[in-house]
Order: sequence, then structure tokens, then C-alpha cells
Amino acid sequence: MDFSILVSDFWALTIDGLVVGAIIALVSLGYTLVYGVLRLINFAHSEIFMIGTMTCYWVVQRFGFTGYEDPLPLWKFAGLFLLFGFAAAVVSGVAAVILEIVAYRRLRVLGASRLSSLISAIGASFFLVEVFQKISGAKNLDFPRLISKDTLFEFQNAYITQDKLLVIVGAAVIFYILNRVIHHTKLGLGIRAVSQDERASILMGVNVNRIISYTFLLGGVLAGFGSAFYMVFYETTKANVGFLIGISAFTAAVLGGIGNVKGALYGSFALGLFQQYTSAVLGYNWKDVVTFVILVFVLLVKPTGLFGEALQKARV
Amino acid sequence: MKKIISIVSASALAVGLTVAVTPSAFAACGGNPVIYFQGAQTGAYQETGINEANGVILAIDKYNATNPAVKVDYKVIDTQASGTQSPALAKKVVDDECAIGVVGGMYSGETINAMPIYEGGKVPVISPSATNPALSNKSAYFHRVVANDFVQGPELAKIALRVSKRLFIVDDATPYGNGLAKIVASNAPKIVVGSDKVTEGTTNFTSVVAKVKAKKATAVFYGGYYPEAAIFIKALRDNPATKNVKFIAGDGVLDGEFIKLAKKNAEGAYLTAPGQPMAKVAPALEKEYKKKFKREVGLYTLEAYNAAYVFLQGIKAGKTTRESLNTWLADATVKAVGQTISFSSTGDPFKLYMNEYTIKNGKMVWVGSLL
Repeated sequence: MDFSILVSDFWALTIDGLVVGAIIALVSLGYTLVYGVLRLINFAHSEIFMIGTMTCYWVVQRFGFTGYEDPLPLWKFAGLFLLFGFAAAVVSGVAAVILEIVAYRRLRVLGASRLSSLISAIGASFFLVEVFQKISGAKNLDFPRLISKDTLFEFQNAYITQDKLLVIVGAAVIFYILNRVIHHTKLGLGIRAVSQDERASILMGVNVNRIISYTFLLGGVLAGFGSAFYMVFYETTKANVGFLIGISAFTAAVLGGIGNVKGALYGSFALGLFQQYTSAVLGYNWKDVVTFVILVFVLLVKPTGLFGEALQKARV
Repeated sequence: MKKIISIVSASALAVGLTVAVTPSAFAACGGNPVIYFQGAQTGAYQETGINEANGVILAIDKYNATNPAVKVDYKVIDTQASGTQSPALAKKVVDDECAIGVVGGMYSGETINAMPIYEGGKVPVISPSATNPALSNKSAYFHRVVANDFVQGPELAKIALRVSKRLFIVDDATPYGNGLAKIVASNAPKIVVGSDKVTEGTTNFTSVVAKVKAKKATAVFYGGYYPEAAIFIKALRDNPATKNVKFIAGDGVLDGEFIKLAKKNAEGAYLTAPGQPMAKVAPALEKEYKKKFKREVGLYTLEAYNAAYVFLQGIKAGKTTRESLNTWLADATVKAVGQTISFSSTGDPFKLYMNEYTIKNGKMVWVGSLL
């Protein structure tokens, strides 16, 4: 155990933790939204994220980068980022809707048990990973350096770079928009209504199937934006990239109280920070051990997670 | 009657002998003996695996082109370099009655886990690139054509002592990576300022870089393979405090794919390998390889070629059963390409090589021999 690094590089670890947390949060929200309306853990959601990273990669590939170029000027980067970011959001969103129709809707219509849906989710996840392994050759795909990672300014031993700022600010904007969607639109009202009481929503004239599709779409779009940030920050992807981040995002959602949007957000940032601090103090390979010990502890003490399962009361 | 019996037994003996020395020994399998390659053909580590598999294919094709009495077929088991997948795939080899030997495994972990299965099936194995010392003396059926990490580790430590006074050690917790890291640490204890462990598939190295920075290390040793090493070296170069830290690693990192993934960040890395520079020791074969496969040779292409070559010499000498081939390997001395190969009782080669490489202008460059 070595606390000296935590003390000397606290802010560097914190900034990186926030960046990691922001990316986890964008994935985590997909788990939580779907659980909110369907009471189903969509285990294939991590693959929706993976599809987003692949989309970013393929869009950028079209521009013929070799990876040896200098980073782009800011305005060019902004244009390209918006292009691949929105492409990833659209593709991930559509993929999530297709997933819902193919893997879950039929089971739901037939009144199958939750367990069947869960197995279907895991099957869909394996299917997508294997398909993309074939397509991508199962290799690490290298994303070119598009934005300069030179230090903008130094703060308490932490180097602040453009990519980190982009992830934190970009994610904050998306969280704000999500909050508006959930609380100030008809769609948001529908999502909250279905998550509160599905039968009553039907009686009130809510088209539940449509709301569920939109929820998957929303989760997919968020994961798509998350994948764009991920690619800018980590600059690499592969067919099973979703596995680790999926586990982190799912853990964050459960930690905060699955089904609760606010919980998923706080859970994600807590997890991101916690993983960085644990890595510094105990060693990198301990971070997952400690994370899961805390998760089990939280579930033992407060099974509904830190903020409880309540999408309808959610505040972003 | 006695005469008849002796005629019958003589004929039976003759048939038996014919069976033992001609291709019909493989009547049970209904074809030619098969040399298998064990390694990654897909997945993150496929580059090294394809470079090795091509070496084996080249050796077999060249051998078959000489119209030998016994032709040899080639098959591959794609382990994706995973120690969890290799035992089940090794079982397939054992069950294949035509299988006579295995070139592989490519990495140490997958080889360690597959060896008990091969031993059970009495299949001789020659690895072109598994360097973990735990494999020495592990089985009478295991051989390798490269020096192990008890040779590589101290040489890496010498490089670390040469270029730095403060060394930070990181490994990927695999048998190879962790094993090599321990040997390096024990050979340069005075300069080690800290260590950390990551896992295979790690993409977030920020906390490791923070430690390298906090410990004011001037060099980093990474025990592991190229996919993670590429991400790690990028993360080091991106941080102003660690961008000049020297990067030292073993043969798991020395691969064309490391340069492809790390790009200019890979420049100047200090790398070692028991593999020989093919362009230098076997230029004609290198040319032949490039013409046939339309791609560059990789580290261990030559070693894989030579491992297959050793088997082929055994088959040429009439050793067409697993057991006889394995017995033959114990005493054989084969003059392969750029290397004379004979195995000690531990399965390690008698003649050892260790080379230093670096990356210059996007190319793997041989620096010199370390032994």
C-alpha cells in the first residue's frame, strides 16, 4: 500500500477518474434506462457501445489517416468529431432498437419469463462480439491522433489536455440534454410513466412498445456518444472492447441503484474516481477486486443501491 | 508345420516393418503425417501467430517439393494465444491419428497449459517462441529452439542498468510477462524504484503513468505483449513528465504490430529477443518468404521455420511415429537455417542466441547480439 502517489498526484488521478467516469456514465445510462422501463438487464448494451467505437473507426478511416499525421487544427477536429460522434450515435441507436425488436420484443409479446430475456440478452451479446471479431479480424484497431494532447495548463501536478476537457464538458452537455428530455418532453414523460407502472400507462393511452423502442434508442445514442469520447481519449478499439467497460457501467448502475438515472451518473463518477485511486494505492490489478468488494458491500447494506431504484424520481 | 509358422511370422514381420517405415504407417489416418502449428491465427495476437505459421508452411512446402518418400501435411489450431483455449485444442491434435508433431505454442501460457495433453498423447512439441523458464524440464515431449527468459531477463536488466538509474517495472500478470518482470527485477534490484501490474486488455494506463511520474523513473520495463505495450508507451509519451522515459521490453513486444499500433511513439524502444534477425542470417529464405506470402517476415518466422525443419528431418530419417520422432529429437543435431539445433534434456536448445533490437523510422532494427 502506497499512499504517496495518491497524495502527490491526487488531482491528476481525479481528472483522469472524472474522464473515465464520464465515459462509463454514458454507457451506464443505457443499462439504467432500459431496466427502468423493462426491468431487464440488457447485457448486450456493451456491444452497442462497441458498435459505436467501430463506427467512429470506420468513419475516420474513410479520411485516409495513417496515424503519422500531426493532430488536426481545432476547427477541423470539431467538424470531424461531430461527424463521427453523430454517426456513432445514430448507428448505436439504430442497433439498440434492432436488438430490442429481434432479441426481446418477441419474448415480451409471448409473455416469456425474465430469465428468457436475460439469456437472449447474453446470446445477443456473444453473437455481436463474434460477428465483429470476424469483420474486424479480432485485432486491436488503432484510432489516429486527431486532437493534440499537449498540455493546455498544469493544475496541482495534473496536466489538463484538450481531449480530457472535451470528454468532461461534452458529457456534461449530454447529461443536461438528457435531463431536459426526461423531464420536459412527452417522450420523457412516457418513459417515466412506463417505468412507474406499465399497465396504468397503457390505460392512459401510452404506446408502450413505442416507448420501449425509444428508450433503447436513447440508451444506444448515449452509448454512441460515449464511444466517440472513448475513441478520442483511448484511441483504440476491438470487438470485445465492450466487455470491460460494460462491466464497469453495469456495476456503476447497480451501485447507484439500477433504474435510477441520477444513481447511474453518480455511481459512474464514483467508480471512475475510485478505480483511479485504488490503482494508485494498491496497484492496478487490485482495482476490480476492490470495486466488486464495495459493490457487494453496498448491495448487502442497501440492496437498492445508493440512490434506490426509481427512474420516475430521477434527476440528472 | 514349424516351417509354415516361421514363413507366416517372417511375412508378418516383413509387413510390420514395411508398415513402420512407409507412408502406410499412416493407414490408420488414411493420409500423410501432419505437423500442426499451435498459436494465434485470429485475435489481438494474430500477427505473431501468422508470421510463425507461415514459417512452418514454407518449411513443409519446400520439403514436399523435394518429392520425399513421406510427404507431410500442415494443419493449424488457432488458440488466439489463450491458455484457456489451448488444452481443448491440443486434445484435437492428440486425437488426430495423423498428427506427428506440433510447432508451438506460440506463447508461454498457452504452451504450459497444453503440454500435459500433448504428453498424454505422446506428441512431440517444438516451440519457436515460448520463453518462460517454467517450460524447461516440464515434459520429455517439450522442446524449444529459443533461449528461455533466464537468458533474456538478465540481458534486459543489463540494458536497464546501461540506460537508466531509476527503473519502474510493469507486467501484465501472464506467465510470460510476470515471469520476465521478476527476472529483470532480481537482476537490477538497486535501480528498481517501483512496480505495478496490469491485466491483458488494459486500455487505461493513466494511473500507471502517474506512478512512473511520481517515482521519477527514467526507464520503464514492460513485461507483456505488444497490444497493451503500444497503449502503454503512447500514454507515457503523452504525459509531459514521462515522455522521455526509456521503454524497455522483451520479445513479446517486438512485433511489426507494435509499430503499427504505437506509431512514432515506438521509436527508440529498447527491445530484446532470442529470435534471430532473418534478414541477416537467412536473407535468401527471407526473400523466398516475401515472394510466397507477399508480406514482411516477423520475429520468430525463422524459428518457426526451423522448428518445422527439425521435425521434417526426423521424418526424412524414417521417424514416422510420434514416439520414434520424439526419441530421435533427444539426440538429433540438425543444421537448420542460420542455427544448429540440438536439445538438452530439459528441452532447451544447446546453442543460445539473444539479440537487441530497436525501432527506427517505423522499422524493427537489429542493434546487436547480446551473447
